[in-house]
Formats: sequence, structure tokens, C-alpha cells
Amino acid sequence: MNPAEHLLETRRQFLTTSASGIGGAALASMLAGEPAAAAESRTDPLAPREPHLTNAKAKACIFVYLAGAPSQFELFTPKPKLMELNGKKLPDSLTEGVRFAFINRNATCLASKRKFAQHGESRMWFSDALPHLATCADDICMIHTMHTKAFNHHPGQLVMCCGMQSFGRPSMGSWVTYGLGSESENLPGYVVLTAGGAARGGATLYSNGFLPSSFGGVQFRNQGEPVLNLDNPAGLTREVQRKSLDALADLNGERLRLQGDDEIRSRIDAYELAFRMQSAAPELIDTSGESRSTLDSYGEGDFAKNCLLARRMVERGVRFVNIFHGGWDAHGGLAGNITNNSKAVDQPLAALLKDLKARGMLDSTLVVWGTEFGRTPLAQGNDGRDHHPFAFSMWMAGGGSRAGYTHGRTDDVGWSIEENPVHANDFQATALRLFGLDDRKLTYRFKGLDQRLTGVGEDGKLVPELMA
Amino acid sequence: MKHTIASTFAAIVAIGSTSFAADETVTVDFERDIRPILNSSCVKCHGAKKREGGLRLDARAFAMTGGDSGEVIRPGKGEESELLTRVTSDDPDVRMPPDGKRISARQIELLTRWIKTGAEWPDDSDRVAASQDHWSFEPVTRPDLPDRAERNPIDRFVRARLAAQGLDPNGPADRHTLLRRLSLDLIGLPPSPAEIDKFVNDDSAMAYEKLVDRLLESPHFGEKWSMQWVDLARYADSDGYEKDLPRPHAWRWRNWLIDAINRDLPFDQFTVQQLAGDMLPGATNQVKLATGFHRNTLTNREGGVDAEEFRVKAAVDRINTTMTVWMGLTAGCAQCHTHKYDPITQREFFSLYAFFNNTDEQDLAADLEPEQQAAYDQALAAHDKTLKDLQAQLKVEQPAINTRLNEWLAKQRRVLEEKWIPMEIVSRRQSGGPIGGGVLLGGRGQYEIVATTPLSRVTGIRLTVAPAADKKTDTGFTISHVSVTVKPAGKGEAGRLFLAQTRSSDPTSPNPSGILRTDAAGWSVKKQLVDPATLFIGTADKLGAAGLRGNELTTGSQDGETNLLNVFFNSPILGLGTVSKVRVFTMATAGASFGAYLLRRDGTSHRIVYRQDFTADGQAGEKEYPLKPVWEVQPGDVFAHSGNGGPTFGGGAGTKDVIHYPVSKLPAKGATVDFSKLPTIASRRYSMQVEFKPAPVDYEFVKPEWDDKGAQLTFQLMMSNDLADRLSFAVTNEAEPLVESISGIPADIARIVRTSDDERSQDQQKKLIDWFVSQDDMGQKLAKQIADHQKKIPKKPAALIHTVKVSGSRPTHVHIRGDFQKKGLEVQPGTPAFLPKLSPRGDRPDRLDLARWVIDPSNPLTARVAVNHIWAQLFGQGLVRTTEDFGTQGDTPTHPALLDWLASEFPRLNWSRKALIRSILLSDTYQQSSRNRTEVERKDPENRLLARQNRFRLEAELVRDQYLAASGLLVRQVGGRSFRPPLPDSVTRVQFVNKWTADSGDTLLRRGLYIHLQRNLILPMLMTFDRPEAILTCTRRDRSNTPLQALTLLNAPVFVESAQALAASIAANESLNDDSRIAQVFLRTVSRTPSSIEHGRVKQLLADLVDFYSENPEEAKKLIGSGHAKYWQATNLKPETAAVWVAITRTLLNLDEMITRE
Repeated sequence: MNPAEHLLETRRQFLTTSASGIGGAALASMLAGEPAAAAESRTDPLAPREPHLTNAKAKACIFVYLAGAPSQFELFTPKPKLMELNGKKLPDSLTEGVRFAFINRNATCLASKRKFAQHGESRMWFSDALPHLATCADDICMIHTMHTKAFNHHPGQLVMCCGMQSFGRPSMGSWVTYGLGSESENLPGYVVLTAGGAARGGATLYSNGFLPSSFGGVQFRNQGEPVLNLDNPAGLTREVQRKSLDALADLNGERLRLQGDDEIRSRIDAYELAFRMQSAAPELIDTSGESRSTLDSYGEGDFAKNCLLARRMVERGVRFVNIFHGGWDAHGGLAGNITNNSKAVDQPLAALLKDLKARGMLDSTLVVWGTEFGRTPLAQGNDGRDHHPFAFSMWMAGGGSRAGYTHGRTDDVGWSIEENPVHANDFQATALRLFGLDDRKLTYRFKGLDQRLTGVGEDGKLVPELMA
Repeated sequence: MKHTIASTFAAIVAIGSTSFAADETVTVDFERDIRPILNSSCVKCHGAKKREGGLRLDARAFAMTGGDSGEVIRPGKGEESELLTRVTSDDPDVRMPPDGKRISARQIELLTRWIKTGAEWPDDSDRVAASQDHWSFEPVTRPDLPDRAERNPIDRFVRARLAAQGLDPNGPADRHTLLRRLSLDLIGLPPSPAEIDKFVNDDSAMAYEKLVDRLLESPHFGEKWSMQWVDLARYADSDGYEKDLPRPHAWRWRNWLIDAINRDLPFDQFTVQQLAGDMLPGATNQVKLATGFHRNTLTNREGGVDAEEFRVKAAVDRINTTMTVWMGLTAGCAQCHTHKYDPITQREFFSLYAFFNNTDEQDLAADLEPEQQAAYDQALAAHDKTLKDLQAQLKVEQPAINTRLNEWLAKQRRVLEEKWIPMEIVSRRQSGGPIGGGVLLGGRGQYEIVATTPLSRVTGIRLTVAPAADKKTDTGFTISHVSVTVKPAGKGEAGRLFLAQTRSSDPTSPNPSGILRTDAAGWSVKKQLVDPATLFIGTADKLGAAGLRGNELTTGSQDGETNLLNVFFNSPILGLGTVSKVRVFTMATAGASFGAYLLRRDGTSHRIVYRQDFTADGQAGEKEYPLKPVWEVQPGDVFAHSGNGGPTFGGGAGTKDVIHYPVSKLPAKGATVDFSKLPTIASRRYSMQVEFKPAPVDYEFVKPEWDDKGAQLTFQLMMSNDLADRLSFAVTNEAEPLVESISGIPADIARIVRTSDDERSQDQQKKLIDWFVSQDDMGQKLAKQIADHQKKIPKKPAALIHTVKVSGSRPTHVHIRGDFQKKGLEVQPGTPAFLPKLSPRGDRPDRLDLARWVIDPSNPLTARVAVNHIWAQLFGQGLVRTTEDFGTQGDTPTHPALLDWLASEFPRLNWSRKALIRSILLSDTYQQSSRNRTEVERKDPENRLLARQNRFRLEAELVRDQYLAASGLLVRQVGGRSFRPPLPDSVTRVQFVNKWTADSGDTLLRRGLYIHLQRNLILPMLMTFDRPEAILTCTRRDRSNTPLQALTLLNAPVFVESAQALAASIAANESLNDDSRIAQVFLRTVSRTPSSIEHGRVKQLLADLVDFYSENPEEAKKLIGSGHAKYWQATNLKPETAAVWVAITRTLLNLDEMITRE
């Protein structure tokens, strides 16, 4: 056998043998209480896995994160009482002992200048800032009673994205990918897209934390090189790349033969996936094959492009997509902030929901409108609102969430929750459940504890009303 | 230890009215009566396993300490004992045991009596010990070596275990592998071809040991071994959180670390210096710098944060990190509740936290780096030289400038003097007489000076106080309460000139515009009056403009505002208004009567319209008394004040003569009195002020004018302090009297101008010249150049070291459920009960005591944890795999005896890190091959028993280092600041505030350890290779294997650059042929020569690439073009050939072996 034939033989062998190296062992311990994932045709950590519970509808998630805390009073919750109280103080009993970021408790109420109306058969409220989204009312599951303890942005974003204020924890996208793997063989399982300025927490919001880095969010760009370092150097064509990687695989295979270390096999696999990504990722962001009407429905701008890409990713088996849209922190200039930001996200989000629905994908795709907290009914200056973690609004759609349903009630001024509170961890536990994941079982042993998205304590109660 | 119940405890209980124990001699026996109750009803939840609420009732030490919310047993005080409250409560949420189980009435009786009689509980410390039976909490004992043939103790332990499992170890690794392994493990860099050649061919018995010793002494040893500690210290170059501002001085701590490891600072000192270096006696800045370890906590600078919240967070992180790094304890769990698994209660956590609760941050000045200092010195010298040149030029020009100055001075004086008309003094009411056209003042008091004016209208008055010719004064003076009346020379009544704003020529006067204020300040001129001092007073024609200023009764408030008026003799109120309060100097005699009165002109007499009596409270000093009702005041009203004539009124500055009646003589309210006959007591000093609120009336009035030129102005003024000086007056009718007559000249210069040449002091002369130079064309030009140049003085670069310091003594409380705002029990600094006792130096244990406790030989954890960290570096995993957790939830050691042997060896080697590493490296266990065998894989798939060495991927920073080293690009500078590699915008865009500014030049080719760590934007390459985010302490990194890693190594700029540089140096070497070139690339990348199979495969690739690039020369040009031309310019290679070698080196640089320690 000449050297080349010998190598070819080796390669054939290891590509057909399944691996059980360190990567496999790590995976085996991942799903506490579950038998180790059966050997799949794929040996990488992102190989798809079954959830804890059967019959779950959600297969993919598009988590749209509106960073900076959009005002619920300008978008989702009409509060006629605030009209009456405009310019007046709230009763001391409400504001006693409350911490504020910037205003003080003597600040006066600010009525919304937005017009509200009920939409769809569900009679769901939307303000005139979101005319497109309002047409999707009957697909949306609206929650008016979100609450959290964090009242500064970065800590709040950590709670909503990673479950706790503390650092170094995996984001929800990492947990879901860890739990379910990815359906895509050519793309990362968890992708991040940003638009409209940065989310202040930066990469800490889509980090894999203590989970293996295969589960970290991979940032995609919506034009040019979609993934960092995806493109070969100029002059190093795909053909040269193929020849190089063939040689590399053979040489690594030879090392594998000598050393018997399965990590080398994973390395060879990783290079092959990288090669596939080199064609799959550009194809993904090339939207020229989309119909004119589809492109028009999403509209213009980075955020619109990201919504369309998110759909294309989910179509291609990506498990979790985070879209970040920053700039909602309106301590002043609230009216303009709401108008401009709403204009950027309203049409694309409505288009995304309709597009998913038309393609029969909405049932299996959970779309989330998320943020760190809400804003005060009190004015900061004459046209701004401060941070308000005690009651705020978020919504989801698809993926087995309850369509056309509005959950929870706040008081007349939207200060506090009157019934059906939903803590950020409750929301997360419920969202995981839509994927068939039990947040108590989706654990990872770190620092002597079985860690989970919703923290190590008793927090994170399911909210069955939110599920269809 | 066993105790007998009878001998240790027998309590005789005095019985009250309880039902069962009629017999007063009944004995409550703890073991017989109480322990069974606790065991059956309490210990299930409050025992060693569960510790609900931090409470344990299974041993005395725990029970008496109580739970997270405090004591539960108070011996002798049943009613204060939570234990009894809980078992007897009717509230199901409070009652224990929960869930409807109840303990019997008799049991309650027993418990009650037991506590009331002192809650005797015999010593049962053996139970405490038994309940914490966990291997890592046991003291370290040095185990005997297994009886085996191996010389090296480590091998004996490992091989004994292998033998027991029927496994053989691998043989030694080949020399290439061994050399590469040692190089990577000790310095993190591959061996050079020359080093490979030398070692592989060194047949001496000591070759390996010599190599070990050489690498241990390399300055790069500190770089490699600092990396692990950098992770533990969660070191970063930025604050973290939203703003994530850079920390441009943080790297100095990293320099300390590299240096400490290079000079093998013993681990005990290494520990104490980092935890409490600031508290060591005679600590140098270098030692204090070590405490930078705990300055690596995050800082939240987001708007609207509660600083206390984040101070607490940092302190909590400091104790968590300390416990994890040194003792392998996950103490952090106990922040919110008693640890579920390890024996740390929440109170103990906060006792640990207390050590850091009184630690604040402190930045100290540091020396500049030598090259920084040199650059700074050079810049400073250059700056000085230019400055001197400019000053020399100015000196040349000076005579001409002086001439111009003198001409200018003469002219200005003429202008100045024409404006002000000196007044002739006609009379004065005070002893002494007019001298030299001015008034010689005779000490403090009230003056009335009459002078004539030639002007028919006065817009401004100038008062000049000159130093007496015959004596230099040594006290300052204050003039206040100036009033001016004008009496025309002919017929007509005298009228008041209303004085408005004032301005003093003396910029040093503490209150240059205060002449009209009624407080003590007035126009104050400080001591040692040498030059004449001048005050300008404008006159007002509208009260609206001047408020009520201009009258001696008022302060400088605007119309409608409340004024505090000083009341004194003959000072009628000007306007309508109300008075709501009076303020007086009270008598010190308690009970003394006095009062305030308002008198109103009633024809020729005065009527008393208001009267209010007060009683002194005996406290001397200024007192305020509200008036009931509020007094309505009209213009011309006069206040009076009464007392019992006591002489004990407060005196001193600010007291005034007032119309004063003895209480007994004052007429009743409504009575009419002759004003002129009212008694005034000028000999005593009383003070009264009233709070006057003017009615909103327009006080406009016409400014007095008079026809004749001989009008008399009468000045009344107060002078305090004993200054006797000449006072002269001048008047003007200029439109803007307060604008100094020399327009465009500052007041202090104008004052110097007015001073005659021979009276001018040296200082004044200099000031004048400097000012004039600044106005002179030539002078100005030069002066500006000098001033501009001086502004450009090179700034000394900031150089700080971040340290900590002890701060006060904040009390420490348990934070209920970890919430810093919910304070529970107060706790003292202390260490957990299950660990050896702390031996504090003083009464209150401090951080230095803690540091010494951590490293004390009796501490069972520290040495075990430390040697395990070192072991993990050399074998890819620790003997205890959970390097961060030695608690009950952590992994157990694979080789407990070996771990203890190493833990006892470390202090025996004087905590020398190098010595310990050396002894491990000399073992066969370390040196064996890493080849996996089927037999081993089957029996021990994770190689826990070490039948072979481990093969593992290098850390992110080292991955990068390998490429730069292989290509020859690496800059091997040890230490120094961090650098930022270039990043695409799409990556840096996530930064919210702090933008990423890339460095350039050779600094980019330094080792990965020095890459700037921006917490919210860790370099993607580092993240892709599992570098932690530098937010929490990290004891072991992941080693993932992902396609993003492949893309990074194939295409990221620094890696492509490495392929180019390596290709250029190989391909252009004409002494090589293709075969030897391939061998060279192997040597440079993976430190060995290729096998024939490998060689053949690379030759095949080479042939394929030659075909491709000769058919596609334009692609070849692209590959070696643009950014990479610099590597190829000096060669004569055809692009097609060069491109082939770039593709070859890029392929071989991507070998798995390249980033793996074999």
C-alpha cells in the first residue's frame, strides 16, 4: 500500500466509527437524569437530541431582544388613569421605599400621548406606534405582568438572557442548544444578529457561560463575511482549500492512528463543518432568491434584514436565533424614541410572524419580544420615563404559545401587578417547556451544583396559561 | 471520646406549677430526656444532611450557635428562646416541626425546664467531627510511600494504583515529544530547531534534568505559569458591566505576577502578599501591588446605580474568589442561604465576608517604565530649552517695552485723576481733626464726616484709606454701615443718597463688595495695609434696581425678599413691609425679661405700635424669636429693644447700639413717647436684628440733584477694628462710576497705576510690567509664545498601581437571602467552625490574619488545592478533577495518598513552585508517552489512573503563540502593558461606550497573554478557544473543538500572517530542496520531522498545488499580494512558487498536533 492509499484507508475507518472521546463523555453527563444520547450519525456536541417531554411544538426560537427597555405605556398598555393623574404625584404608598435609577419619588405621572386600540378577535391592545404588529394580535401571547429585581440595564439584561444577575452563566440560547442540539449540519446551532446600536451587555448576553463553547452564540453579520474569518485569504480558492483540507485530514488521521485520541477525530470533523459553513453561510445571507413581495413585506434596514435572516436560519435548522435591537432607553425624548424605534421594528416583526405562518413554521418557531424591564408611569424630565422592574410587558408568538391571549393585570397606573405575576425565570421555565425541556432537568454540573437557566433556587415556575 | 451521662450532667430542677413534675428533685438529663426529642423531631431537617435555615441540633456547637437568623437557645431564658417559641406556636407557618406533626406537652415541658435551668448540653465535639467526615477537611498527613521499586515517589503512588488495576504504564515519550512537552508546559513556546537538535542528540544522563532546569529559569516560565493565575484572579483590562471602561494600569499587577513566579516567590508569601500585602509591616509599593489580585473585581459605572450594591458585590466576590482559589470551597452558595452541602452556614459566610467588607480600593503612584521615563525626560528637556530661548528673546526686548510702559503710565494717570474730584472735609464728629485733606480716624466707632462737593449730581463716591505716614499699621479694619446725606448749600432739606453696588480696589479684601452688608464683614481690609485701599460706591436712583441696598438698615437682597436688618440707633425703616422675627443677643441669665418694640412717628412724637416680651432661656448667643402677630411696618418706623439692664449681653463684632429701654421704664403699647427723649444707651453694646419682608411696592424715587456747587455731603459710617488711618473722599458724576477710569484695565493693575512710582512695591512693579508686556505688541507676541509653550509642557504619563487598603470598621450583617439591603444579624470577622481555628494578632481578626490562616500548615485545604492546580497544568486534569470544588459535591481524588504526599511536600520544599514542578517533571509518570492503548481505553477511558500522559489542546493564548513562534514573528518581550489587536467593526460594535482602538506595530506580535482583555469584548479568537470572560474566577478552562476554531486558524489575519512569514523563510532558503523544506516546516510547526507517510502526503499536496497555481498565476499573485508583500519583496521567487508554500505552511500550521500538548 503506498502512503496515500494507506491514509485513505485510515480516513475511511475513522469516519465510519463513532466517537466517544472527551466530547462524548461531556455530552453524556449533560442531560441529568436522561440516558446518554444514543450514538447518532453525528458525533459533534451539536448533534440533535430528544427533549425531556414529547409532544412539544417548539423546535426553534427567534428571541428578539429590545435592549434599553421599551415603554409599555407607549406600546402595549393603555392606562386612562394616567391621563387623569398627568402631572400629579402618585400616592406615597406606591413609591415608599422604592429604589429609582434617576428620578425621585416625588416625580409626577406622565400620560402617554399614544392612541390605543383593540385589535383582532382577541381584542388585544396596541398603540398606534405598532400598526403592523397589531394585525398579528391573534397570534400573539401578550404578558403584562413581567417583573424582575434588577433595575439597571446590564444586570437586568443578564436576568432576562441568562436567568440571573450574576455573570458567567449561559444564555437561554446556549441552554436550548445544549438541550436539543442543532438540526443544521452546516451552520452553528445558536446564532446572534444585532441591529440598532448595541445591547449594553455585549457578548455576556449570548455567552455559553460555563457550558462548552460549542453552545455559545455565534455572531452573524447580515452582509459581507457573515461569520468572522469565514472567507479564505484572497487567492486561496475553494479548490485549494479542498486540497489543503484533504491533506490535513489525512495527516491528522495519521496522528489519530498513532495516538488513538478521539479529539483528533473531532478536529477533523470540525474542519469539515467549517468547510461546509464556508458555502452554507454565504448562501444563507444571500437573499436574492427571495420573492419581491417577501422582501417588500419585511421592509428596509438592518433589523428587517435580520428578521428575514432569522427565518432563513430556522429553515436551515438553526436552533436559536437572538436578534438584538438597542436604543430604547428613553429617559428623555420618549416620544421620538418610540416613534423611531417602533418604525424600525414594527413592520419587520409583523412580516416575520406572517412569513413564518404562511410557511407553516410558526407552530414550531417560538418568537419572543424580550427586554430587561419596563418604564415608570412617572415622568423623568418632561418627556422621559425611568426604569421600572415591577411590572412590564413582553410577548411571544408561535411555538406552542397561547395565541391571542393577554396575561396578567396591573393596577390603574401600571405601577404594580394585581394578578398573575410572571418573573423572568417563570417566563424562561415556560419557554423551555414549549421546547419540551424541563428547566429542573436541563442542568449542568458546575461549582458543585447542578446549575440551570432559572437559577439554583426555587424560582422559575411554569405558567401554564401561556401555553396553548 | 465517650462521656458518661451521669458524670457530666445532672440538673436538679426547681419545679413551679407544672403539672407533671410535682417532685422537685426530678432531674432533666440531656441525653436521656432532651436529645431523643431533638433526634426524633428536629434533626431530620436540622442535622448534618439538611441544615435548614442554617440550624443544626445534632451537636452542641451547632445548636448553641443557632441558625441564619440567630440563636435559638438562650440558656436560662425560656421566653427568649426561639426553640420554645417554635414548638409552642399556634401559627402553622411558625410552628415546628412543620406539617402538622407536634411534639407532646410533656416534651415541651422538658424542653422548657431544660432551657430555664441553663440548657446544659454535655460536650459532644466528637459528633461535630464525625458529622463533617469529608476527606478534604481532614488534616494533611504525609503518607508512607508504597513499597515499590520505582525511585520517584510519584511513580510509586501512580504505579501502585495501576498495578492494582492490572494496567501497565506507557513507556517514555520519544525525545522530540518530550522536549516539546516540556517547552510547552514550562514556557508555553515550542523549542527552536537548534534546541531540538541539541537535546535530541545529547546522550548524557543529565540531559533531561538540565533541560528542565534551563526551562525553569527561562523568563518565559513566569509568563506560562502566570496564565493559570490570571484566570484564577479574573484579571481583565476593563471594568466590566455596561460602561466597561478600560483599566490602563491593571497590567502592572500582571507584571508583578510574572515576576513573582519567575523569582519563585514561595507560595505562602505569594498568598499573603496578594490577600493582605498592604497590611504587612513595612510593605513596599511592590508588595502592595500584589493586592491588585482583588482589584480585578468588576465595577459598575452605569448611570443610576447604587454604589453600595456594587461595593458589596465586589466584597462578596473577593471572599468567594479567595475561598475557591485557595481552598477549593464554593462558599458563594452561602451568600443567600446556608450551604446545602458543605458545612458553611450563612452566618459563617458573612463572617468571612467581614474580612473584605472593610477593604477599600486604593491607587498608588507607580514608577514609569524605563522607556516611558526616558521619553518623558527627553520631552521635558526639549521643552525647557525652547522656553529658555523665548525668555531670552523677551529679555532683549524688555528695555524698549519699559520705555513704552512709562509713557503709557504717565498718560493713564492723567486720565484717571481727572475723573475723581477730591472733597474737602468740613467737619467730623470724632476726636482728632482733618489732616492733609483726609480724616485721621480715631479707632473703632461711629463717624460722621461732612465734606463739600463742587458737583451738582453724584454718581459715585470714592473712599481711600491710606496707610498713616508716621506709622505702619498692624491691624486691618472694616468699614460698614455707610450712609450719605446731601444738603444743598442754599435752601432745601437734606436728602439721602441711596448707595448701590460697591467695588473695592483691593482684590484680597475678603468682601470687596460688602460695604453695605450689615454683617460684620463690611469692607474689610486685611492686616498690614501698605498700599492705599480704595472703595468705590455707586449711587442708586431706583430701589427696584438696587433692591433695598443703599441703606444702612438693609442687606443686599432684592425687592420682595426677606432681609435681615440690623437695627440700631436712629435707623428708620425705609419701606412698607412686615417683620416676622427678631434676633437678639440674649442674656445669659435664665428668666431675664426683655422685649422688642416698634415705634411709629406720630406728629412730633412716637407711638408704640407693637410690643412683645421675651424671656431669656439662659443660653448666651444669638437667638431668634418669632413675633405674634407679624408686625406691619411703615417707612420711618423705628425698632427699640428692652432689657433688664443686665450687663451680660453678648458683645463683640457685629453688635450695635440700639434704642434701649430698661424693661421697667418702657411705656405700654399704644403710649406716645417723645422720640428725642427716648433713652439710648450707647455705652453698652446690644444687638438686634429684624427679619423684614418688604411689601411689593415700587420704591422708585428721584435721585437727588442740586443746583449749587457747595452742597455738603454727610457721611456716616462704622468702623471696627483698631486701625487709625487717613480717610479721604472723592466724588464723580461719571455715568458709570464703578467702571474704573482706565478702561480695559483690570482693577489690580489700575490700582498699581494709581500708586506713584516710588510707592510701588517690587511685587507691584513686576505685576505691572508683566501685564504691560502682555498688552504690548512685541511683548504680547513673545509673552503669548511663552504662555502657549508653557501650556504644552509634556504631561507625565499616569502610572498607577491598583491596591487595596484597610478602611474603618463597617459593621457586617448577614444579608437576608443575599439582599444587601436586608440586614440580619451582626457578625464579626471569623472563619468557618469546621476548619482550624483562626489565631488573630489582636482582638478583632483582620485580613492579614485571614491570609495567614489560609496558608497555615494546619489548614487542610490550601496545600491540597495548590498542588492540584499545578498537577492539572502538567497532566491536563487534576488529581481532583473539580479543581474549584474540594467540598462534598466535588470529585474525590483519584490518588488521595499522592495528593497528600504532594500537599505535604509543597511546604517541605518551602512552598517553592519551581521545586514542586521539578519533582513532578522528573517522574516517569510525567515523561511517559501519551499514546492511547485499547486496553487502557477500555479500562480507564478518561485516563484517571495515568497509564499514559494526556494529550490536550493548548490554551487560547498559547495557540496564538505557537503560530507566531513557528513563523519567527513572535516578539518575546516579557511583561508590559496590554495590546489590542485590530478587529472588524462588526465585532467592536457591541461595545456600548468604550470603543476598541487597535494598536499597531510590533506590539501586536507579543504573546497572547498580553492581549487586552475587554470584559464585554474578549477577542473573538480567545473566546473561540475557550478563554474565560474574566468575570469570575476560573480554575479550569474548557477545551472545546469547534468549526469556528478551524475557521480562525485557517483565516484570521494573525494566523494567515504566520503562514506567510513561515512560507517566505522556508521557500526563499536556497540551501533547501523541497524535501528538506517539508522537513523544516514540520520542525518549525510540530517540533519533529515527518514520517515517510506524512512526507509523501505533503509531497502529493505540493504537486497538486504546483499544478493549480501554475495554471492560475493570478490567484497566486493575490495570495502573496497586498498585505503580505513585505514577506516576499526580498525574495526572487515567482508568485506561483510562493503561493504554493503559503498553502503548504497554512495546512501544516493547522495540524491538530500544532495546538496540542502531546
